[in-house]
Amino acid sequence: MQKLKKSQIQMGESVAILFIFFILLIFGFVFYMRVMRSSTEIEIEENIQLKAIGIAQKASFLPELQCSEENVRVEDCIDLYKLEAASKLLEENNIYYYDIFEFSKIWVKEIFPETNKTWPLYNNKLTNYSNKLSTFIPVSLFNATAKKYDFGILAVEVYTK
Amino acid sequence: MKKRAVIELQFNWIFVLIAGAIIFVFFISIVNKQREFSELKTSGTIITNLESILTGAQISTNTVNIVDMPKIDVGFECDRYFIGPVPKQTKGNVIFSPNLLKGKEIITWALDWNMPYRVTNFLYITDPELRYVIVYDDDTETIARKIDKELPKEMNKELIDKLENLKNKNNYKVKFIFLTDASDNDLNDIQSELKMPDEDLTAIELDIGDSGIIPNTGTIDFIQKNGTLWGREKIAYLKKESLFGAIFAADSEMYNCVMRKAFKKLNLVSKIYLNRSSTLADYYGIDNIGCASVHSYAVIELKKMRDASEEELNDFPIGGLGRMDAMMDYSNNIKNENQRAQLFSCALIY
Repeated sequence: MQKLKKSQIQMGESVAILFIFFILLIFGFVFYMRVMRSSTEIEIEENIQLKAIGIAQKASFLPELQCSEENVRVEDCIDLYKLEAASKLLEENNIYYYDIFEFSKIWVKEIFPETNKTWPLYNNKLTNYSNKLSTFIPVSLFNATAKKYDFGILAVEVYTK
Repeated sequence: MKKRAVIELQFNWIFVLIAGAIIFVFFISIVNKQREFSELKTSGTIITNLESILTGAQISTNTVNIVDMPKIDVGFECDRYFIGPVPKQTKGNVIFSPNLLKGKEIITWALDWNMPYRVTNFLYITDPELRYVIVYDDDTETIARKIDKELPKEMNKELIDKLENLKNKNNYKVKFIFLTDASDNDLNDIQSELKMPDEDLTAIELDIGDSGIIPNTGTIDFIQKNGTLWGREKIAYLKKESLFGAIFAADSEMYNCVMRKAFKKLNLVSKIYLNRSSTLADYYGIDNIGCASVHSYAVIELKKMRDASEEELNDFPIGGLGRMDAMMDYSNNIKNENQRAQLFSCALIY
């Protein structure tokens, strides 16, 4: 076997140093990317929760549902006569309300008296969702003719991929 | 020096150069990728935060919020806004804003739009670095002061009665609200004094009389320089909330588009009240003629409101002042019927 020349050995050393340098660099980069990925995942999760709360907020403040007395808003109250009308209207204007509620399912359920009556409001479920966040808002259900309040929940389920 | 040694030395240098260049390019590409990623991430974070702020501002009315922002350009259109390359839909939100916000702060102001029932919240967005100048004369001083008082005090606004008093304050955009006649000569003088490009200097001229109160309906002239001439477009407004919208909107195109969104919402909410009153009229029937008549009259007016808003959501501003006056009449009639409902102890219309 022919003996390696001095310059060839020097060259081999340089290549080896470069190789190790790049290996260390790749290790560092992979580690950094993992840290970045986990922090991005946390951020995405936070954004999903924020979005779910935003949609629930929008649903509970919808003028199409809210009770009012001389145009003064009553917080956490749904007018039953509006609810009956809104149930149909939201279905007919699904595209308009998609801009507000995106992929979610919204309904109102009467809890007391225990009639188990449910009013579906909006249903645009994602078929292959990976995340579902549910928010249940206790509301009073106002009957304008009987002038009495029942108790119910406004349920908002938000779906994300 | 031997020939072989010379070649070896040169080869070494070439090797160092190539390896160095590869390392250099590698680091530059990583830095570039990181910069792009970080810009995108920052824009995304700001957009998410801004969306939460907009949602919050929309559900709490009559509030002014000052939002601290990083020094970043925020672009607004009728249907979306941009931060850097990241766009976000404004969706059904009714937002009046200049087309570009550059400041470190954003002012948001939300007001209820009632016809006479609550329809939606109008959200107004501006920047303290953006200057609003209200120009008045002796006849319109009272109303100018009223408008100035109603607008948020955090806005960069001022009242002037003589255009000669105008000073250049180096604002990146200036909007004039004329309560006097704004002639092309006046506008040219203003432009030469402020030394501003055409697109950054806009004006509206309000034809709202001199009664001292802000009328519910009226017309607004949107003025924008088009080539060498000042283009004007006359558009009607409905209630003072939409008049304020004209003050904040970038131009007539944005104002019309946002108002169409507002009319869409009015149409939907009117349908709800129409259905409700119709059910209530049937419920009271002949057993309670008073309440039945209240809701039956309301149904007639609500139908008119529904139909008018249906036309406006497609045609605005073609209907003009006549249509706005008619809608204001329907609104007043519904309000009167609601008072009658209260008088007869019936379920209220709204």
